[in-house]
Formats: sequence, C-alpha cells, structure tokens
Amino acid sequence: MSIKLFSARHNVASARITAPKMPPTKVPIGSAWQIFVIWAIIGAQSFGGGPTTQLLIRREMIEKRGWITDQDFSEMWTLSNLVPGINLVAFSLLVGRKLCGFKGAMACTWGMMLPSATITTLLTAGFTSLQKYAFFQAMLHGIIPATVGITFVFVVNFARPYLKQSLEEGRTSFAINLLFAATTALLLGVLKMSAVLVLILAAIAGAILFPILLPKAMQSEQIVTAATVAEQSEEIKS
Amino acid sequence: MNPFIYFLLFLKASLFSTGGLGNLPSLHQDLIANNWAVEAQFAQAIAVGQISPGPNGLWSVSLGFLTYGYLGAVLALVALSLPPFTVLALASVHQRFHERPQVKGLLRGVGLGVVGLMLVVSLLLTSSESMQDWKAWLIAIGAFGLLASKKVHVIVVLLLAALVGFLCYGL
Repeated sequence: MSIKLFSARHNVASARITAPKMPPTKVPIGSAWQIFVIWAIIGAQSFGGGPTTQLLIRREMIEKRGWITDQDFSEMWTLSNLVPGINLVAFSLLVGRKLCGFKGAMACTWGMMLPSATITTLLTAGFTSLQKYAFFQAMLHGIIPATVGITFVFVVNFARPYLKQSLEEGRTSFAINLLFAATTALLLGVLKMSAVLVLILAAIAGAILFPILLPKAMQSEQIVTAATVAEQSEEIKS
Repeated sequence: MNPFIYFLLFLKASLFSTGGLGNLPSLHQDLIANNWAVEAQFAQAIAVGQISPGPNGLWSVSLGFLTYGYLGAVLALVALSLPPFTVLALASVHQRFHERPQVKGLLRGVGLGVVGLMLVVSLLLTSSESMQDWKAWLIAIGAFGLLASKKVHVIVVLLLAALVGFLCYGL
C-alpha cells in the first residue's frame, strides 16, 4: 500500500482542524484484480456521466468498504480537477494508488474505462448500422438538435461558477472575467487561432494579469474549479 | 489518415483541456480541417457519449469509432487516458504551490478560456445541416430548457428528442 502522499496531507489537516476520525476499513483491501472488478461494475453502471459515477464510487469505496475516507475523497477530487483530461480518470488513479500502489491505480482506471468504453464503441456501431433506415434518420434529426442544446447546457454549467465567483468579487472583476472569456472566444471564432494555442495564451495571460488586476481575489480564492462546483451542485440535486 | 497524427490530435486535445467535453474545440478544429470528420459525426458522438455509461469524456471514443473504426476508438481511448496521469505528479507538488496568486490566475485563465472556446463550438454546431428548420431549433431549445431545469435526466431528453424527430420527420 502506498499511502505516503495522503497520510502526509492528513497530518497537516489534522493539525490545522480537529483530528479527523479515521473509520477502520470494514472490509480488508482486496487484490488489484478485485479492485478492477469493483471498478468495472462502477464504470458499467454509471449512466449519466460524472455525478452518477461519483455517487457510485462514494458508495463502494467509503460507505460499503471504508477503503477511503470522506476527506480523502474531497482532497482527491479537488486535485483531479486541476489536471488535464477526464477528471474521473485522474480521480480513479489517485484512489487506486492509495489502495494498492501503481497496480491499484491501473486497476481502478482501466476497470472504470474498459467496459464503459467497449459499451460506448458497440453503441456507436449499432448507431452506424441503423443509419440506413429512414425511421432512424428521422430520429437522428431529433437527436442532433438536442445535442446542440446539451452542449449549451455544458457551457452554462461550466461558466456559472466563474461568473458567480467574479460577481462576488465585485463588478470590476465580473467585467474583467467576462472580457477575458470573450477574448478567447474571439481568438478562436474570428481570428481562427488554434484552440490549444488560445488555451496556452489564456493560461499565461491568466497567470500574469489576474494577480495584477485582481490581487485580492487571487489571495483569498479557494481552489475550486468550475467542474468541482458544477459536479457538486448536480450531486446535491440528484 | 495517418494513425500516429490522428492519435496525437486526440492526445493534444485532451492534454490542453479539462472535463468531459473540454477537448471538443480542439478536436473539432483539427479533424474538420483535415477532412477526417464531418459536423454530424460530432453531434452523434456527443449523443452516444451521453447515453452510454462511464465518464462523459468517452464521447471521444465514439468519435474515434465514427471517424476511424475500431482502431480510432482504441487510439482515442488511449489518448484520452494518458493526460490525467499528471495528477500523480501534481499530488506531490500541489501542497507547495497552490496558494500562489500566479497559480490561481493561471487556473482562472484556463477556465475562462474553456468557457469562451466551448461557446464558439456550440455556436458552430448550430450551423450544422440538421439545424436548418424551426423544428430543429425548437428541439434544441426544448432540450436546453429541460436539462437546465435539472429535473429531467439527459437520457430521457435524448429519447424524447428521438421521438419528436420521428414524429416530425419520419411520418
């Protein structure tokens, strides 16, 4: 078991707040293969993406087995939101590493990804083979506009925590944040710059401009990324 | 199609973005510029990604299959799974740097950048060929409303959309 990272973090936390109660593991931690199977079941069950998966992980890892604590969960989730790519993959890597080192990380991640990726591929194949039928074409004519609606919901969900936070920081901050997002949109949409280049520029500009323009906000701001807030608000609802 | 370049495009898109659909702007730009994908395939892949289990980010696997068959799906899956490994390194340095204003500014900048880019791509999707009549717009607005209310599951929304599509265009 490799727990050096998080045990160190726990000590810091417990010194600062009160000593967290560490509930004993209800079930001894299984082999990498058992972990793989548990996560494969989580992955294959998690219809509806992030919030559902999080809920299932919480149930299996904390409530049912006591393999990780609530605090582990929150810390790992926050960290997972700071790295590129699918946050849930980063999260499963951290949980797995805590359970049984690198083997555990592989077990959790591929357990979650392989069955669900296979189902996704087969669904897509089914989709493609149905395309020659007129009734399915008609259904697609309904589904595709709906996905346009879905992507707009994604944009709103992603933008909401930033808008909210900047509003709390004051009107100037709100205007600056809005202007920043609009500039990136113009760089991609009008100047046709590469999306990756725009994001790199946004990272550099953010690191230089925000500490100068919004010094107060950059001092006090909690590390909560958009995805965290969006997921949390969805989790409460579901 | 060059499988290596194809893989690198997926890797790049995922390495410079975060969250399930964050890689959409970059993939959209690159695959369409190379004529390796058409607009409709993105919409289909997003729909399948919503229906199927697992992280929403698996929509890229569906896009991989649509544009490059089973090899595309595998390449997409591998490309998608690599960038999150950076979390293992980050976990050990995070504690030391996360209080710095520059780091916070950088994260804010990337987040707002993703918002701007996603907005542009969503607008581009509205110009796809299946958004030509008012019925399609009504479906899009209806789906947005139902989902934004958070009372209806996305799978229900897609099933309703399929039904409405069948009634509007199939009879």
